[in-house]
Amino acid sequence: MRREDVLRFAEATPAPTRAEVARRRLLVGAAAAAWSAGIMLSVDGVRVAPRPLWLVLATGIASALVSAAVLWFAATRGRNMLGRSARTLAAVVVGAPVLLLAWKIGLTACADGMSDAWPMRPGTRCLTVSSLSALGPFLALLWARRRTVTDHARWTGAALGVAAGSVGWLVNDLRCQVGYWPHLLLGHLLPIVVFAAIGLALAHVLSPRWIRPR
Amino acid sequence: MGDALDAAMDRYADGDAAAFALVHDVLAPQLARFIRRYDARVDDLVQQTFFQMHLARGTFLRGAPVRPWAFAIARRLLIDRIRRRKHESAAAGELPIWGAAGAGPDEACVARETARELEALIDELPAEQRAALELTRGHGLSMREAAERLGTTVVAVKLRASRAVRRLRALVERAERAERQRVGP
Repeated sequence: MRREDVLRFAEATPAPTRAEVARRRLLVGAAAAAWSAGIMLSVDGVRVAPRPLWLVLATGIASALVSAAVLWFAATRGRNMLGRSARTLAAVVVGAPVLLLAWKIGLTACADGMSDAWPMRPGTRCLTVSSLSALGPFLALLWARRRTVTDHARWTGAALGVAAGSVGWLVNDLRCQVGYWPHLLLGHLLPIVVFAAIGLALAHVLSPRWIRPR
Repeated sequence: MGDALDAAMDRYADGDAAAFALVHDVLAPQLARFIRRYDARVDDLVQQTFFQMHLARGTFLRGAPVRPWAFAIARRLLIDRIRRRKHESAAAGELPIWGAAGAGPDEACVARETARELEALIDELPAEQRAALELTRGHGLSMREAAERLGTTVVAVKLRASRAVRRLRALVERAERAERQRVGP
């Protein structure tokens, strides 16, 4: 066994320590959060009227909680170096968008006139805002998990896309007053699906170079 | 020993360079035994495994068991090596090893196809079940040895291996049914 070679390599090749990695991730995470907040502020910020305040609070808080949970599941590996199981990741990928949509539609239906059609707002502006808001977190998540996923890279990539997309959903939820379901599908849900697909396609970025993603 | 090993990897992830020697001394013989079953270039793959562990030390989770991680890296390096060798053999026009055991060209072709199909079905198993199956049935390790390698209990390994066999059987039956339907009566 060439023990000395291994130890010499480790000594000669710089590898960041855990504290350095944590510091870098914190900085990148903060930059991503600032990016999304900047996008939201640049498109009028939080808008309540004509929605009742309780509806904005209920959908906003729920979206924030779901986003936080999805970010947690996608960005971390739990207690296992091999990462989360495919089943957990699949549940996140499928469950989060369904949950967000069901909550939004269900709650909006309880508020008078909030589910009505808005012919002038098909959802293209929301699609743009949501996609732009999600872009920063998506790149940050890809960077944070790059070359570290040994198992289920495709599911992990899709989960990262859903996590980033759910940030976009939150931004939209706070600023968009439309509760009409075709608008929600196009402007709010589609970005999540698109980012999940992109994450799936970029699985090779997450796997170490010597692994073919699964 | 597991705790001391995990603690050493923890220290190494925090920047204590001396702890890597302990991680290496404990893990290297175990990794070598695992790799030797498949590949003659043991030293090379063990070295590669430690290089990867070193480069990824900053991502090591505090308190996580290091052994399953190290074996996962070794296993993936091994798979990559075998795949590359297959490609090289194919490119050079050589017969893969299962086709060279005195069988005729038809048998060799069937054996090669069957092995490829089985490999694809095993790939469909969940990672935990696949690892338990490969260690116990593929490498002939005892349940206790497999449990140590995977950083889990003997009962868990037994469960995972038996579930893997059940699932593999179902997958094979499904594949056979699909083949029969495709070919027709």
